[in-house]
Amino acid sequence: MDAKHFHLEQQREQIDLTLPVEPQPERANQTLPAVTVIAEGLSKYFRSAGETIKAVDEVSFAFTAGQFVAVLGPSGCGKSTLLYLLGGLDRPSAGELMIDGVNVKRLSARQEHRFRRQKLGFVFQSFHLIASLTALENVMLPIELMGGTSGAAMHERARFLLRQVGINDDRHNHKPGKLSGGQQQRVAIARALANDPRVILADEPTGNLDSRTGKPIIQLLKQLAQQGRTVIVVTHDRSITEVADVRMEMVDGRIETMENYVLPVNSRLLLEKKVHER
Amino acid sequence: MKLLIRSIRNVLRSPLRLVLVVALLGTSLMFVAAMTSLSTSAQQELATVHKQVGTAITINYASNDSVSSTSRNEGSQGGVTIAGPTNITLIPNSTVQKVKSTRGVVSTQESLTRPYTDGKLKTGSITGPNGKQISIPVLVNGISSDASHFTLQGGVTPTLVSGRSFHDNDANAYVAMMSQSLAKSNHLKVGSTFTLKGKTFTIIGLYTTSDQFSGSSIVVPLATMQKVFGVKGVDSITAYAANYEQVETVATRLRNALGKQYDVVTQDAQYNNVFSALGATQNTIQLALIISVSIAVVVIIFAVLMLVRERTIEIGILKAIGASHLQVLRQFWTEIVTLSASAAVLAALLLATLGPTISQRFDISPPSSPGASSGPVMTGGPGGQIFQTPSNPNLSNIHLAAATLNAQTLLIILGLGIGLALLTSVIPTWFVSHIKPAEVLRKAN
Repeated sequence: MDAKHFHLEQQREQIDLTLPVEPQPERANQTLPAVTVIAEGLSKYFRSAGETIKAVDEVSFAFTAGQFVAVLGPSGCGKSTLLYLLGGLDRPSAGELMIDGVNVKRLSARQEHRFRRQKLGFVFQSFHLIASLTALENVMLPIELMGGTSGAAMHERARFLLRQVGINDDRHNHKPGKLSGGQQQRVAIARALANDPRVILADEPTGNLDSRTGKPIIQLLKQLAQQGRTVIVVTHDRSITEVADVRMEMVDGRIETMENYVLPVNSRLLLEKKVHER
Repeated sequence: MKLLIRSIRNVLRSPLRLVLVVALLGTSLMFVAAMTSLSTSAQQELATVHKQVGTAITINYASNDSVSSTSRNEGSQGGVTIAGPTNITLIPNSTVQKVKSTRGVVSTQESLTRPYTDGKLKTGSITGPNGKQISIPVLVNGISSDASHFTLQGGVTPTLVSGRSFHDNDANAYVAMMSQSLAKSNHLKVGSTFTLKGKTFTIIGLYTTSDQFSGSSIVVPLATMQKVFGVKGVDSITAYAANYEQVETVATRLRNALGKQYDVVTQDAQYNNVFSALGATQNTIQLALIISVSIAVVVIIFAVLMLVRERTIEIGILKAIGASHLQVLRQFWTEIVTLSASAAVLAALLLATLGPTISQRFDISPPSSPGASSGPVMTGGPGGQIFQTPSNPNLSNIHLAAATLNAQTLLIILGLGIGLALLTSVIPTWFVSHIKPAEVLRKAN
């Protein structure tokens, strides 16, 4: 188990990939985990055939570093839309969103790209690796997009991450088409970790995998949370919900239940009242 | 990993499509360069022809046209026809003076040609196309001693090889210049004498010509010739305008001054064949140029559209993992430039190898024209060709410069390649700015 742990601080020293972290007053208090995700009245509406569809309807929550959150619910309940809102891929119609101290709504287009590069890691159901690139190059891509890292350092970090997620060296130069589904998802997780983000967003990460190959992926995501990241997983997979710290169930764009959820006392939430009302 | 290497690999994703696109685009670029080069060459040829022949205006008696026309036709069938002087109406000296005094006429050349019939000089012969020996009769040409132009049949300008040409005081003298070959055949040299119509002429100069038909000729002062042959006029007059632009104006003035009994023909009219051939060639070249550019544009737009459309998800993913618009666009721009550069290299190679062959296909096909000799043609008499305009162009000598790989064509290929790449870069720019990663990923899942 130890061998598979990420030694992030050591890693940063080795390859000089320190990311700028915006100041967070919460972190001054060393006894409490940092609040990484805060949503307040977050909403996303679509117009279709003259009708307003409330894909995400005034959801509010706050998650801290180290939490593994499973977002559950039937198809079309707004889980994925919520994930895209959290990832800054969609603009909210209303509400506030703070990720690792950054107010996402106030970001310019240019800052938004930088925010995604620095703060977030995405894992998709269909892996979405770039087919023309090798596993290694896929992992190197976010580091290259970030810039400021030498080719050798990028190479070293990508290899390190691939090893950490269990991809052997002999597979590093394979293109996605030559890898199994489980291996591809591992590469996708390594890519999500490339810039050492604080928040990992995963959309049905085991949806295209059988239970045998899905299980290690779940374990891997759990480990990421244990290492201090906030991992939010949209899923139908019961085995994920079993290991999740928090289970959030959505129905018709609203949060139906929040199991195991405790509002972080050190959060600066203004939504406290709203959460308790529910 | 370098952006360029990644772009090249992306371009190589579909080798068949790459080959097709590069081949089509490269061929189109090559044609564009070749056609531009040929078009320039055609324009230069046209300008050269205008410059060389454009200022001459030929004046003949209207009734003499049929005679000279008949002579030419017979000649073109391989025979030798010398139009006799008997059925020719001479242009009187008064008309010559009228032409000379017409506003805009900067110089004139009077033409009087008669066959040498004394029978005392030995004539030369040439081998005709049917293998028969054809005797070349000696032609006597009269030129005014102040003539600024001195040319013989076929527009050939004689080269004086010994002795001198006429001076002003030779106007009425019994002096002559003779072709070197005729002089040699008769063992004559500068200072020798021969008789013409009972008068003794002294040879003051010998000349050579590049045309064998003109190689059996004698040139005497016009006034002397008129006196010896008993004629009071000339066969034809060629007037020269100051420049090409003034030719039509001067020709109109001459027509008004001389009346309908004279045909006033500009070189433009005489060389309609040349101009129409060059014009037709230019039109064909321009059509080919337009088609080539259109194909190149369509091919690259199609290629880039394919390149971008099929990678919509990839664009969404790149944006999701934090790539900026510019970073995604740089990727596509590099790929487009890689495509264009590959096509440009192919175009350069194709032009270097196929350029001359393609040029031949677009070269001018020589139609029959006054300047195009295609057999042992010899015409004479009024309106005949002994004294041609100074640079009567032979259409068979007009060729477009072969389109080859040079600085100009290379610049065209590179310029158009880069231009097309810039033009089509609008496509990915539009796509990337309009693709919303959330929508793409939603559909992809």
